[in-house]
Amino acid sequence: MELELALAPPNAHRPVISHLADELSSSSSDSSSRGKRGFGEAFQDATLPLFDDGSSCGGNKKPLVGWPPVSSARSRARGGGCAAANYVKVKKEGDAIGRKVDLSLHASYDDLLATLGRMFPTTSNQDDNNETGSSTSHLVVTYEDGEGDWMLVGDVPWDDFARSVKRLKILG
Amino acid sequence: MGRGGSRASPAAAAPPWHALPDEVWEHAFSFLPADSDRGAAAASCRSWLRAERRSRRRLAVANCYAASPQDAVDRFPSVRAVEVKGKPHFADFGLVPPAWGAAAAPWVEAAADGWPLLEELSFKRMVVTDDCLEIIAASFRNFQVLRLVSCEGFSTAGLSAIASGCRNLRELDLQENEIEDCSIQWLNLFPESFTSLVTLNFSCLEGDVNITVLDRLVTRCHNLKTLKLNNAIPLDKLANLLRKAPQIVELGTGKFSADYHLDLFLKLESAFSGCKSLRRLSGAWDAVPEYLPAFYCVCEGLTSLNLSYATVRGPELIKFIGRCKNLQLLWVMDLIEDRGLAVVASSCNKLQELRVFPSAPFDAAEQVSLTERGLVDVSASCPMLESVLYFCRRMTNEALITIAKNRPNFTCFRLCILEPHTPDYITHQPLDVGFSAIVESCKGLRRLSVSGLLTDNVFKSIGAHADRLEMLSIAFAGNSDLGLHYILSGCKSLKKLEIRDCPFGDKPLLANAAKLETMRSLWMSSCSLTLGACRQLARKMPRLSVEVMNYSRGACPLDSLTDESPIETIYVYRTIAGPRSDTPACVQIV
Repeated sequence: MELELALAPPNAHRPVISHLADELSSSSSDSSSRGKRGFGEAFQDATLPLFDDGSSCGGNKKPLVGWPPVSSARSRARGGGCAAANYVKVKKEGDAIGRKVDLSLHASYDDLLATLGRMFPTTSNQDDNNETGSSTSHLVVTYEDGEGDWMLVGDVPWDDFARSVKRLKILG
Repeated sequence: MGRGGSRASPAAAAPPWHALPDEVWEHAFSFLPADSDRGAAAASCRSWLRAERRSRRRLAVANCYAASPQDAVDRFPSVRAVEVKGKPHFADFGLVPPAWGAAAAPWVEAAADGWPLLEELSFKRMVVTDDCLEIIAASFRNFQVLRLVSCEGFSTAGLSAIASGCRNLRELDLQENEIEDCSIQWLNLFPESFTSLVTLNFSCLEGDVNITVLDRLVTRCHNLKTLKLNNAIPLDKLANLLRKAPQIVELGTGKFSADYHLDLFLKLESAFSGCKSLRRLSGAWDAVPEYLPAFYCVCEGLTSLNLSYATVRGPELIKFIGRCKNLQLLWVMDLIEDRGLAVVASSCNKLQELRVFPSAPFDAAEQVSLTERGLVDVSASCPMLESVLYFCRRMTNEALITIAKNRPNFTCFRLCILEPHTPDYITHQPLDVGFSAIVESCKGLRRLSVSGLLTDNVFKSIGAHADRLEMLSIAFAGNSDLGLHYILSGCKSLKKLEIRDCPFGDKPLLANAAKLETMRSLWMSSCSLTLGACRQLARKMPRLSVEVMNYSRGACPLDSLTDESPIETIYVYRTIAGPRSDTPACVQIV
């Protein structure tokens, strides 16, 4: 709960605060005494800002819970779709020039390996008719993690990997 | 026989119709497709009640707390298919506190005990654990259909139990669930001899899937009609799978992004051209527009298109949809814009259901040109349109009146104007007149969601005219108790009412207490209710359960609060099971 100094509009169910100072100095929230509300009650509802510098009305309203009514499944999906691009360098051993790949466009290791297979074609994985789907599995891909260590790709869950990877290296 | 004018008397040996044996009635009732018809028959007399309940095969429990699982099993011993729904609808938007309830376990346990021949189980908005899934796999020897919609509490470990234990499984349909990924390769656990799958939907699963195993499964299940993949399946693997299952009727694509490559495009195009039976298409499409033409060959046959997770926009999208001349259902993002909907209006004349979702719901800046115009165009040109869900930023009364005039056949009209309290943007008036036109014109309206700036007047119209309305959703509307009173004293068929952030107080609730027992449930949050009214309501109506939730304040021992205490949220529902005992600390039954 945010700490906000505020006046509350008059309301049939709650007494009007006459002195904000009294409110704050009575530390025990004795909610049964009329005229004074406990700390929790005072800041529960939508209140008018005491210091109106224009930023709290109109533009920067606090986000409403559950509005607009978009299901959490959609919000999650959208969050993923709007993620910022996550480009990492990819270098193949022996190549002078490297490439870059956007990890945010990939959701799994298979995905990434497919893209790498296309970016770095070798004679053995140009065969696109391989239907068991393991045509790219002979690419040995390593990555540099957050601690500067070089690790074999594939051990940790995809999301953890995508967050910690700094760059990729394909062993020739 | 005999003289004209006299009626033939029945032969003495034939029993009067009301003494016919139960088996005859059971057979007669089997022709009643709707549960409501069967319910009505059962209410006529004891013998019909007995015959009907003993022969009931399908059971839908719309509120898991309306009756106990044991009640259901005792009353309907021959059930083969059950659907149970749990949390209130507003749980989808985060308004229901976590751990609120709706555990599936008591239902699964009762079913395992009382319905050993159960074939189908469907749960919506409930907490389903891995234990539940294990019990299901172990208890029903002819289990065929498992459908979980918007559920949580289980993981891939539970799915493994289903895969390995349900020998006759035909449908595994997982829609929008939160599934924990235990990195267990559950797909591997379908035995090699298992070939009966007709529906496989794992689109909501977030983890990796072994594509080789999936490929083998798809290859050996020759009756597979519905396949909905998750984000872990890249485009080229999709093409491979389609070649193994050209008989597919419904497809959910996996991740549809990937840089454009001609060879991949050709591969997809070729795979889709083989799918002559494809009618329904959906998926998670971070689509690169250049790939859409790969689908052109199936457009003509599509009856259902769900692009509501697609961020693709522009002419490629519009061209694609314009080719789908036989669409009955279209779900799309507002990226389609008015000009796209104009194309839908002219091309998709068989459209029955349209849903337009917001691409940037939390961003106040208007980036997308989707207005009332799009909805007006579609409702003018699509004569079979009866169901609409439309998110937009502006609306006018005139547009709503036009829509109402064009489409009196609406059964479901849900309009969500993104900014609360938005008036008619031309006249700056409330949208009362527009929504009134909708309810006056659409006599068959069963579901309505209102939004924008609305006074009590709109509720007067709704109460008076919406005779068939079963579900009503209201947010940020009305100006006094009268608004709620109009609804509760009218709306003859109302079953579910959900309200948030409206200035409705105690009086209309208490004045219409009896109405609540004719309804399934009432949800009110951020209104002006007091604890005293809840107590009175509970005292007056013992067959209602009155749940009070003040979760922003944590556990609130109600006994210590006065009648004047404001209540954040109430959820009221009729029940024959008495107060439930599984409430968390922040929920209390008055």
